[in-house]
Amino acid sequence: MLSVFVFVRWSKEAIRRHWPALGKGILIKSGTGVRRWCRLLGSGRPKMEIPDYAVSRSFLSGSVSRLSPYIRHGVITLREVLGHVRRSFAGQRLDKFVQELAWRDYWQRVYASIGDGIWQDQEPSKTHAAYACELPADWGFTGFACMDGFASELERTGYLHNHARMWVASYLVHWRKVAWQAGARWFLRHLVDGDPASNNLSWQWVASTFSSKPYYFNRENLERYTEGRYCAVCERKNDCPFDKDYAGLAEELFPGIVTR
Amino acid sequence: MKLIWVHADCLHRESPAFRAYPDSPSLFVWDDAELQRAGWSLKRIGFIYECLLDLPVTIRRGDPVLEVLRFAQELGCSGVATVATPDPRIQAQAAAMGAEVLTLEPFVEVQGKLDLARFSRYWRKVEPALLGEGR
Repeated sequence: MLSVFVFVRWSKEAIRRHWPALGKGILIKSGTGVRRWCRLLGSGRPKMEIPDYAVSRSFLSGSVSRLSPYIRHGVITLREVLGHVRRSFAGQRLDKFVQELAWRDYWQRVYASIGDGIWQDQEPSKTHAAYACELPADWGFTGFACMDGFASELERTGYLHNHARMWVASYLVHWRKVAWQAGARWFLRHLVDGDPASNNLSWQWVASTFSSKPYYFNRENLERYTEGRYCAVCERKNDCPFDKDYAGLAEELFPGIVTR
Repeated sequence: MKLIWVHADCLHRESPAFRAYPDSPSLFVWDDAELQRAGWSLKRIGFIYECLLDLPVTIRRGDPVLEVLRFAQELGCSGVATVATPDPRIQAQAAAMGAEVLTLEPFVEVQGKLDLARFSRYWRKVEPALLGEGR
């Protein structure tokens, strides 16, 4: 931890040089107030176009804002983002993007009302399974190209697309029977936008301790929204545990429980 | 003169604390115990540090309560001001400093009590203000 604090005397350029893994897309640009983050909207990778957002945001290659680290640490407020998109995209449909801002506001309001309860199940799990307290020993080296790729990407970049976060959470909780808290702690260690409210409550949503049913996915879903990039190179592609229809998966993962 | 305590939940150059006390000094403290406990990666810490570079803030490390009170005394400040957060640890630290806690404008104004049991119930209540004709 000590090594961090020598950076205090370094310039931004020195940090970029010595810390290339941060990547330009995630480093803040100079400037103040609204001018600064207006530029961010246009300089993140990939660039977000609001009209595309509703259609493409579920794809890993889709149009997303990459504003979450700045919102998480209060560099910009949700209210400012809302005002900006209303002004910049007047007359266009903003519903999906505004709803995602509202999700964040909702998580914050829940956090304000439950405090440290954010680490406890908000409701009984609907799955009636027993869960391990730690990540599995082979985590990051499971042999599944998607899961190993997501684990590596998170640790390497500090970022994961939201859809990938959901697949990872679902895999760890429902296939590997890991307690959501273990996965949530791992995410918070690495996600540059890691926020106890959005993070923990989303894990609980997947786990079914803050939703009426567990969230799970199948290969068809993952392959579609990753545009096949993992399945094509996966050593388990002919032996894929996700390669079933939802009824088959529910029977395997949640025997005796109605999930859809 | 007040000392502004900047914490990691509000790194805004025009936060309510900076707006209320534009000529006041400000301090950010790396919370050693919390960093140790949470095990944040260098990327997380680096991102926060990058954001701090854009603020007129002094940076120290240690126990935030002790460091803030010590710095306030060094500068002869009459008190501490900071910005509200739902984080219980930061709330407790602000209380231990006797800080004035200033609140951000809400994302959306809501009349009456919100049902937070499900997002759908919250959304039904806020949607008119966010997407409706009357906004």
